[in-house]
Amino acid sequence: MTETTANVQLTDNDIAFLLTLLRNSSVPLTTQQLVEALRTPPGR
Amino acid sequence: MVAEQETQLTFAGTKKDKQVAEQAMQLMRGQGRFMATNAPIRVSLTSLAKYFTDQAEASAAAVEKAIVANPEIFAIEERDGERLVVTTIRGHIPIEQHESTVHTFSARLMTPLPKPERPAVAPRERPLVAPSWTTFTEPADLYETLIEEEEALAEPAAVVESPAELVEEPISVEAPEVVPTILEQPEEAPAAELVAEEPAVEAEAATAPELATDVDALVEPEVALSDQDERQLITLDAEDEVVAPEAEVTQVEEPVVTPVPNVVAAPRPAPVLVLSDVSDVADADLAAAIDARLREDTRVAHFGDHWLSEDRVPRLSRGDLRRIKDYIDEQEQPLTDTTLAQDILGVRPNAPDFDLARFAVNVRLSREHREFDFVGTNGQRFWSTSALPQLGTTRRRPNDIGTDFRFLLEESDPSLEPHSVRSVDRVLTFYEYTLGLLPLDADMRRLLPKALLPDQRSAVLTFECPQSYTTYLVEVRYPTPNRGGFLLGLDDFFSENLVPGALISITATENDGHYRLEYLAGENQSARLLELDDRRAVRYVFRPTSYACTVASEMLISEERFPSLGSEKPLDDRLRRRPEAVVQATFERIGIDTDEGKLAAFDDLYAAANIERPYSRELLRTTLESDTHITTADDGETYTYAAGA
Repeated sequence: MTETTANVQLTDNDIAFLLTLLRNSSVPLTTQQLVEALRTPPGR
Repeated sequence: MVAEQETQLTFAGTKKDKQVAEQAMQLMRGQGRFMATNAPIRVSLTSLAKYFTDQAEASAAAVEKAIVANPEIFAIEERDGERLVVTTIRGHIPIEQHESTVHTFSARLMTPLPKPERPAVAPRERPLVAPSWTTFTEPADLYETLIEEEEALAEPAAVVESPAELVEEPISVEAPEVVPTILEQPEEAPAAELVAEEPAVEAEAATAPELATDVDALVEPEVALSDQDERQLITLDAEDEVVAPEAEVTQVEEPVVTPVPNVVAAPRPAPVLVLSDVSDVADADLAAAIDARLREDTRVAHFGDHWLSEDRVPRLSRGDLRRIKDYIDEQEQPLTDTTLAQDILGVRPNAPDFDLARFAVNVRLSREHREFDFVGTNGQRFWSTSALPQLGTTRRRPNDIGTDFRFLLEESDPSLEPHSVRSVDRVLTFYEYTLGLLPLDADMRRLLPKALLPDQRSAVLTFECPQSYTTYLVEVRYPTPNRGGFLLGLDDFFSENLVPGALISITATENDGHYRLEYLAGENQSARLLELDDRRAVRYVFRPTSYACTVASEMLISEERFPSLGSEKPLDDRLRRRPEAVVQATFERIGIDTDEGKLAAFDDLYAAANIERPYSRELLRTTLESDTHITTADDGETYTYAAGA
């Protein structure tokens, strides 16, 4: 399942990655931090 | 007064002894009249005998005999060679008292006891929590939680990489001959770094440098690797002997993976999570995509542009919510999440979980729609309750003010960017001054932030006025489909410091909820200026006014300029709602009679029309030009209103 917003497609893997990131964080994350996390995921 | 009743004593001895002893007792009681009842009264035997001898009542020997005859009442002490008779008021020999020095305050003060050791307490049982929920792990660990999905997709391939010569080749793990070699030299590759998909295979590869020798013959080194394959590389350290010259290279036709029980256990490989390539996507688009997906996800809590897993957000009890509501009502003003987290939840600002507590306040209160209203900005998150009184003037209802500013909806530019300018300068109109407000026009919308929440109707800002050392709470009423936006709450500042026509400047700060409000100061001046007198019959009056601010003369409503405005009554509300009716009434008030009708300059019309209701220059110009009774002969400098035309 993908969703397109302004030519951006976030896959279920992307969302799963973000959810895990949010679960493991002890403080709230901003949208910009999530954007940066998607751009430079660990291991990439 | 307390009277001590003397004890009746019984004396021993002969009758004469009794008399002498009783009299001696009275004498000694007289001597110790003010002494404590048990304090020793000492009288020398010589002086006692002298008394009796002088009184011719008894001899010294008789006195001593009588004293000795009553040992329970009298005692004889010798001090410095003199014999003293000792007794007490109570009539018994003094009892020697020993002051206990076992426990004294000074001793305890100077020699404190050692700190008692705490008894051993059994460790309190804590609920078992998965480590992933209590500790922050490096993002690399994210892959471990998603391994199952990826393992199915992964290719059972591995490549041995030597430090001297990189060999990126898929490992042929099918060779059964490899297994014995691994078992013989498990310690030769202690620092092997494994990033492969198949654990058993990696273990074999890591512990079997000879495997690479086999692979050399099997796989071409020029194999091009994909991104995913690159993550499946096996890297060996420099000391690993990748190539064993004596090893035999054999290709096995039938792949069989033999279990190797003695192989050194390799760590579970990190799963590979294939994420979208977003390198070409703009931040705003990616943020919008994230927002669209996560906003509807019930596993995620969000407020504004902050996100966290729902399970990580502390919950507030009903008692917490009630105390927050009571506290806001008690303070009679909206309070920020910072204040609530500190004062109600008791979290200190320097505590590591303070940001989390603030987030919890915001998330939990945002779900209590009936009790709480969010009236903050991103930088200053105010919360209000329905019981709080409105900020600002009570002269006019906010809904009516919004209706007055309805023209701003037509003048608004949809492309303007909120919070994009640093400061805005304005000239106060009479309407704004009287009600203590400012319009949320295009300039102000460029200065102020937009509503943080989609359904947010208002926001409370703080306006700091350094010239008067005061800070005001200002409420921004955002536009609705049929009402314009405006800012309320400056009536005190205006009335104490300014007059209509004053020049003010509003400057943004780093905090999008906090602004600096200044006015252009000037010399002290006095003039008769227009005021709205609503104490009895509501009407406009001119009163002598002193002010120390610079004013735009074209907006000053003085008696010299508009003498006919004095004692005018405000227009009826039904009339006020129609801009053209107010303009016509303004012509009647300030116009100069001519043959064609009432003549007035545009600047005068603008200043005077803004007494009754807000006008922008565009609105006034449009109103003048659309009215068939109004004409201009000089391209808009002056207008003439022909009432009967």
